[in-house]
Amino acid sequence: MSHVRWSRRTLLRHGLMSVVGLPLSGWLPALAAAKDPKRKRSCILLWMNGGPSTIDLWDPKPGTDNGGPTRDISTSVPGLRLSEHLPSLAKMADQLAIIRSMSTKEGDHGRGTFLMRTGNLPLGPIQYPTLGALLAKELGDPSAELPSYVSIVPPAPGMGTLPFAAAGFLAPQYAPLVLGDDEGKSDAATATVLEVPNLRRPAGASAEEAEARLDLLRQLDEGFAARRPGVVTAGHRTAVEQAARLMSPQAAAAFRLDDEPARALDAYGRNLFGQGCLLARRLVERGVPFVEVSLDGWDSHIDNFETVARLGRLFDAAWSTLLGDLKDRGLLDTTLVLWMGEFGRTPRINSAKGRDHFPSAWSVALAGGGIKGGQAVGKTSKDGTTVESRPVSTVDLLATVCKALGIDHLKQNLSNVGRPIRIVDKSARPIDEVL
Amino acid sequence: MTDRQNPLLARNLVNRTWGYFFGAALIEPVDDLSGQVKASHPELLDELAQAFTDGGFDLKFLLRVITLSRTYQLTSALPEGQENPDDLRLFSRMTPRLLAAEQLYDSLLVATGLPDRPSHRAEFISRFGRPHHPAESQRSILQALQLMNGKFIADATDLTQTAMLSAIADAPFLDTAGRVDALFLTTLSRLPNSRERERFVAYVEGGGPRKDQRRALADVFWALLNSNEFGTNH
Repeated sequence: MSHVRWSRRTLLRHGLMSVVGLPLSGWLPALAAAKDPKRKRSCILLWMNGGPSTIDLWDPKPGTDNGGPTRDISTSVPGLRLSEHLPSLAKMADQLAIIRSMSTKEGDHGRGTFLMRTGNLPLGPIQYPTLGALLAKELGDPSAELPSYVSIVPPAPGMGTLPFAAAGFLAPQYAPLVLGDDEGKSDAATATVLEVPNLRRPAGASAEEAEARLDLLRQLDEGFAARRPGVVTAGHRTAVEQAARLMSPQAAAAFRLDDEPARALDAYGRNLFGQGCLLARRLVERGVPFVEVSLDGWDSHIDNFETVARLGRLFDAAWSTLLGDLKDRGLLDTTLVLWMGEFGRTPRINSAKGRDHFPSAWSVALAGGGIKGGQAVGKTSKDGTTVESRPVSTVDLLATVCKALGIDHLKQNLSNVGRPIRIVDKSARPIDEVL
Repeated sequence: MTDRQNPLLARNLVNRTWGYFFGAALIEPVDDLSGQVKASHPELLDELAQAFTDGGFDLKFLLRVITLSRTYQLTSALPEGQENPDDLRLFSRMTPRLLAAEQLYDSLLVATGLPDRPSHRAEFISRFGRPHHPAESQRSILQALQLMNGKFIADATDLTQTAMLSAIADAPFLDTAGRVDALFLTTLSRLPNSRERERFVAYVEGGGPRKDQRRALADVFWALLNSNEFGTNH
């Protein structure tokens, strides 16, 4: 079931009807909502942490020194060739728009990540929100039971790096629900890592008691917040309210990966990223407008080719399955999927068979959301070191994402320093070729 | 680096210490002493840094100066009748700050009288988490869920588990208002105001959904432990 707000009354009505034996004709209007042209769009960000070697994935250069051992394969689009590590995606290349001419200037993990995820460089006290928070604000329903921004298995931050999945000055309202952030997570325990802990009220407490307790809590908090307005008190109340809504059976059901058939779990891949993509699909089905799933481990200064082969195949399986699933459910046109990392990697292979950081020429990829697939935008030089045509900046890319989702990227939000700040800087030029 | 001619060490220490005590430093972010970001109170920073240097970089001196100041001792509450809060960077009142995981756990132990078990403590703190960055230190949905539904709270509000709660519930010399007062004192270190007392006494006397006054008291205890006020340094 998609983008419908399940009030208790609606559910009781449907439930009652099924008990009495009437056909569940009440579901049909809900299903029709999925086809509603005014249905708000969703975005899934596949975040490749560490700087993925895009020259070995989206823009292979076989037979050249810089190309290394990576071979290319044909795709469903004549003339468009991708890396051998993306066989399933190659068959769906008609749905992908690959930007080969990304050119940015930040080769530091912290700054590069900040730039790609917020569209800005860190500047003094301004707490720039990440894309997730910006889009959640435009696309989300503040009264929905599921939060509008969910971040699945974010990477562990390094020393002194800036916040990863932060809502910045759009907190607390648009702060993400973060899943799988525990230290010591492992693939073996995937099911528990992606769960929302403490979602059920303690045994022995009835629903009425839980509601009564919440009511008492609200009274206490209102009194306190009245004398101490500000971000801390507002944040606390928002967290409590969102937590309470998340406890509803319908919302909690979204996280039950066990409800999926085993072949689905297999197709996405029995690893954190694959299962995270499956969870993302379930959340988008239920109207969550922004979900990000991170895949860490791309910082291949050493043994680049082993890393790229392993991680490439991993996301190849997950993403191709995700696209197929979205299409089957009629959600592909309204769900934009963005694949990117903080920068690419050097065309020149270093002495440890690795590649180092390289923001001057790299690739990102888009699918769904009405994007015109089956094309590669921009070209890099034969040796991969420069962009030859159609350079794309961070803000160009983010403005394109906004436009595909029906959002005006010039819209302003009030920042924590009192200055209004646009969703994306006005210098941005959306990539019309893919829209 | 500690050369008296080099002002940066003193400025950095003073700035960070101020930030630690007040929740916001004079130059934010604290990492940025490049000079590009202006201090909120440049003369104050200069004066404190100079005094600190002249005093031989004595940290105790700095701590005394800060904590004995009138500014540090201001309340976090808005003055009566004032509607719009000032910019907290002007330090006209204390910035409320969430308790960190360890502080919260310690407070919960004091409030509930439950014993300190190292394994339970470790589990609570690892689940509760630490913000990765000062800008992220707001209550998250997961933290709220842990406090609402987690094992610690379930035990703490279970009349059969928490001796103190049942003592308050069963004390023959307390009436309902007295019991509610006791719960407020043990959690928030204050008595309820008249409106709170009225509402909460009415709730307990009504017995809550189960029509059981002892359970209703446990509900009040739950709300107090989960409250913003309990979880905040204010």
